[in-house]
Amino acid sequence: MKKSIRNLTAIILAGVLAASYQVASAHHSFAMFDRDREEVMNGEVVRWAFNSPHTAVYIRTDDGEVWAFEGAAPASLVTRSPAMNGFTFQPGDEIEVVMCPLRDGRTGGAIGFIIKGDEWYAPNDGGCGPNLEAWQDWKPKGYMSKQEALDAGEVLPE
Amino acid sequence: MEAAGLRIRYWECAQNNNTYLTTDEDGNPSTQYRLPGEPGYVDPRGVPTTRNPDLPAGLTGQEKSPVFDDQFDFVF
Repeated sequence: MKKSIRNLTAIILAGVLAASYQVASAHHSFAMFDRDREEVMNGEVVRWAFNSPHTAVYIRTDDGEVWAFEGAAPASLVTRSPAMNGFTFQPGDEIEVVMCPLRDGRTGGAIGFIIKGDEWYAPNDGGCGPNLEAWQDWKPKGYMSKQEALDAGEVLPE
Repeated sequence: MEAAGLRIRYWECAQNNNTYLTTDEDGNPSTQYRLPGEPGYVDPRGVPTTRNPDLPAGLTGQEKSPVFDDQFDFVF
């Protein structure tokens, strides 16, 4: 009897460990994005992929390059303010993206904010965490990166 | 979600994920992000082929992505 209880306990523990591994491996780190750098890019939307597990916005810049930016999952975006859905960014829309670039210099990054007209959207995930209050102050002053703002003497809000 | 007219199908993840595990230059586990045109890149355009067949035909948010652009292709 004791032996069968031990066996049952071992089986349950093995199951719990296996389930934990599945959960842990289902998400990923954001190590490829440089969260210390926050930069502004302008361009025309060529695609807004409102897909799980991550949304993505693709823009074409004035020099013809296509940049890809990763955002959070759709399930999160529909609850943010302002809320986003698959219609929010359409091909041809002119947008500005505050983003944290890929560390290796390729043409991609993590979304911080997307500015469309007067609206500031925050579809960001863990790859980029810019300060909204700071950027809404810096952007009208023409700063194109966090570093540029800090070098000019701007400070992050408390 | 339903109030927003949307349902997210979790099996989308396998078809749209461009993030993958790899190792860095020191051999340590790391994560990377595939860009359009790179080997293994999957093209997330909305998932009309996996639409839930049990949902009403005209339900908002379930149709092919409104930003699906048949004419656009990533050229490098």
